[in-house]
Amino acid sequence: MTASVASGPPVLSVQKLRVRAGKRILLDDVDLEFERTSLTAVIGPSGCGKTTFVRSLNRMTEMTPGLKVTGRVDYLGQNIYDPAVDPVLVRRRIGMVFQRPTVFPMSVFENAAFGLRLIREEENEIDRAVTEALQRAGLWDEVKDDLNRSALGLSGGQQQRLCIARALAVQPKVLLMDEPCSALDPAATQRVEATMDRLKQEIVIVLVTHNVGQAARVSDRVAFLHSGRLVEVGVTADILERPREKLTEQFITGRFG
Amino acid sequence: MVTATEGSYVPPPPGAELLRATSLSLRWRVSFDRAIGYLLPLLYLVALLPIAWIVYWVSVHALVTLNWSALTDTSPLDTHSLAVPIISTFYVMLLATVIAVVFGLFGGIATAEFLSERVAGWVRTSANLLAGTPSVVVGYFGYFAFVLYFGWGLNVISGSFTLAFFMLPYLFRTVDLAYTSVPRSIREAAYGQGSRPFQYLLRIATPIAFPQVLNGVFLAMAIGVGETAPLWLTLEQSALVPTGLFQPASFLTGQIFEDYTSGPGTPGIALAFEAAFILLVVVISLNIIVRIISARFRKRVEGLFQ
Amino acid sequence: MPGVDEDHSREMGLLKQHVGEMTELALGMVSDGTRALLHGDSELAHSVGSRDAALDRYDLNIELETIRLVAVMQPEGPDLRTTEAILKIANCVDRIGRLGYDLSRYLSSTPGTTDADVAEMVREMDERSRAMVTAAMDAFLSGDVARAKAVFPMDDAVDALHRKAQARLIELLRQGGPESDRRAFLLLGARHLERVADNACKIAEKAVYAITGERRTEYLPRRSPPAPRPPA
Repeated sequence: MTASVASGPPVLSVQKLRVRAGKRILLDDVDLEFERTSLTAVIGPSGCGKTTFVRSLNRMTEMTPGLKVTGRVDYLGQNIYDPAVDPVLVRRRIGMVFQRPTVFPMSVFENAAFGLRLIREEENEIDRAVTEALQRAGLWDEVKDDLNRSALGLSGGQQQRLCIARALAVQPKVLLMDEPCSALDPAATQRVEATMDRLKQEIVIVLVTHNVGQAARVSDRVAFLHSGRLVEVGVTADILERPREKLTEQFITGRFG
Repeated sequence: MVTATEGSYVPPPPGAELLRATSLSLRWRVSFDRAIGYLLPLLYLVALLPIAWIVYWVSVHALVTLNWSALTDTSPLDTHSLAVPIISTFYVMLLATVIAVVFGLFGGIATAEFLSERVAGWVRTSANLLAGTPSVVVGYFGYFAFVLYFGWGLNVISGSFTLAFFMLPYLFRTVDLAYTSVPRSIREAAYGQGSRPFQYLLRIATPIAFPQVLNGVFLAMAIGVGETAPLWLTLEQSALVPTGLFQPASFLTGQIFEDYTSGPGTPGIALAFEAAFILLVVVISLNIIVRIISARFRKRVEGLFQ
Repeated sequence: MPGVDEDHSREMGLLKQHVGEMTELALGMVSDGTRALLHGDSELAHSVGSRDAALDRYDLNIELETIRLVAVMQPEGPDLRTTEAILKIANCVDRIGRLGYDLSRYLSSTPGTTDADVAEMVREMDERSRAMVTAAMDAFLSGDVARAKAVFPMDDAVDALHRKAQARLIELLRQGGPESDRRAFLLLGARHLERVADNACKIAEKAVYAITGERRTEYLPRRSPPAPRPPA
């Protein structure tokens, strides 16, 4: 991988990451580094370990009992799996958006403010942060007239953007997105993709997607996983036009998976 | 178009397969189906019969003698009034509910959120065993534990603790279920956002679980108010309203138990019927409250459980 | 899903087959066009002209079919490269056919005989350039990189022939005479055949790209230097 232009350690650096569930190996020695601002798409057939991979980047693997993680995941030089590290703080810096919109049964404002309240921000600071987060997520114009209405009343695409806003409100440097558009219709998908396209210039985004077209549209870089191994990673245009590995070629041309 | 000449066969249009059966065996089956359709509601009425009968029978007898003074007169010498048992029952129930809620809430949340799957399994099994324990056994245990071993004696505190033990498994199960049925996606989203367990419980899980927990409390109360044995073995009857934890008290179910053998026409039997009537009213009311809460709960979290 | 994939493989195969057929048509136009040029055969010229419409139809259909496949299949990797190659190659084949058409028209109304040595050179240019196109096309259809790359050096021979023909025709034109008209058009015709060879190289280049993804231009033939002008 090319060295980051900015000085300092890479935002995220995965080294020899291995995840096991009992005897089964879910991720097998993955090495990957992430540039300061970029969008990396992680693609691969079902069961290849892409969700496991992304969840291991903010220690969400710990919510599933029985997963053993070895290797390093460095955030700005600090291994997040170090025993001295507080997993809660990891998740505040490395945010996550899930496959289905997970809005809480509260108002739009309270949803977006959730993370801020966890870290006990001041009230006026919360206001400002919520506004900024909703704008960055591309949802502001649609909800600014009534921030107090229930989030459950929003459409699927709006809910998902609210989840993005919620994650952004605490100023993460990394945003993990696990197939965020798979439950959305094409129009909503397009809006979320536009949001991702803008955000990738500000933070690191790791996007799991099964849609090769989506990877083509929004990502700078594509990483192809197969059976827990990182088979190939490269600039998007190169991977999609000229994949080096046979497995990669088979996957993107739809010959399997 | 086919013109039908006399005696020729015109096949029915293909859509005719939708028409009702006309062959004999098919018609028999359809009639049988319909017969069952009428039979089932009748069976429902049959099931309703016992409860309707009880309510009717109790009400008829109780309402004959029931009057305001019967409910409110607190003088100790009065043998017509249920005021004392009513108030005493209220106190005992209140204390028992508080104790059961405290244990049930902590136990339920711990099991739902913090214990490992193996330990949680053991705890849940224990709760189920306790739920299956006959009330008289619980009462017996209460007698030995609180009355004798702790030395509290036959009074309100012994009775309330024993009753609380009896109510506990229902509350525990409800709380456990309420917190585990918070959708996994919401739970993950909260933790993924950087919640600590206490913050998650306070801000996310409890507001969602609360209606179910409240439900459980009323349900446990409905069960508890109707029990006799736990209190009978740990609580000494009294003609006075208890003024302290270590005092004896009377209770409605005990009242029935005491007087049910009295002959017809005696004040005792009247009291028994009146007590039964009040208990029915209380239990039915509690159940109605439970239903209302359930309905409002369903509406509130519509769309949350996908 | 197997069913969907099969269809696309079949459709891609069909598309490539159409490109092959279009090439056959175009090469026929070149070969007949050359003969018409050399012998002043107006009937042959007419027959070549009538094939122009068919060539157009092939071009349009291939373009439409390719667009449809792109929209439906969203090809990636080798499929993507092959699709791009098909469009470019169809373009080249269209040009080859047109060159044949032009060849046929030049001398259709100018009867006469061609000088034997010039005719020999033109005939050889025709045969060689058509062989190059056939080789490039076969390489593309069968996925044979080596065969595709073998086309490029063949261009040198055609270039050499072209220079010789040019020099000879200019020499003859200096002499003047009644055959000057013919010789002028033959000069143009030779140029056209050299362009056919160039297009063959382009097809071969696209074949290499479709198969391997390489786009380097190192092995493209350098443009041949203009024939030296004799002193006035």
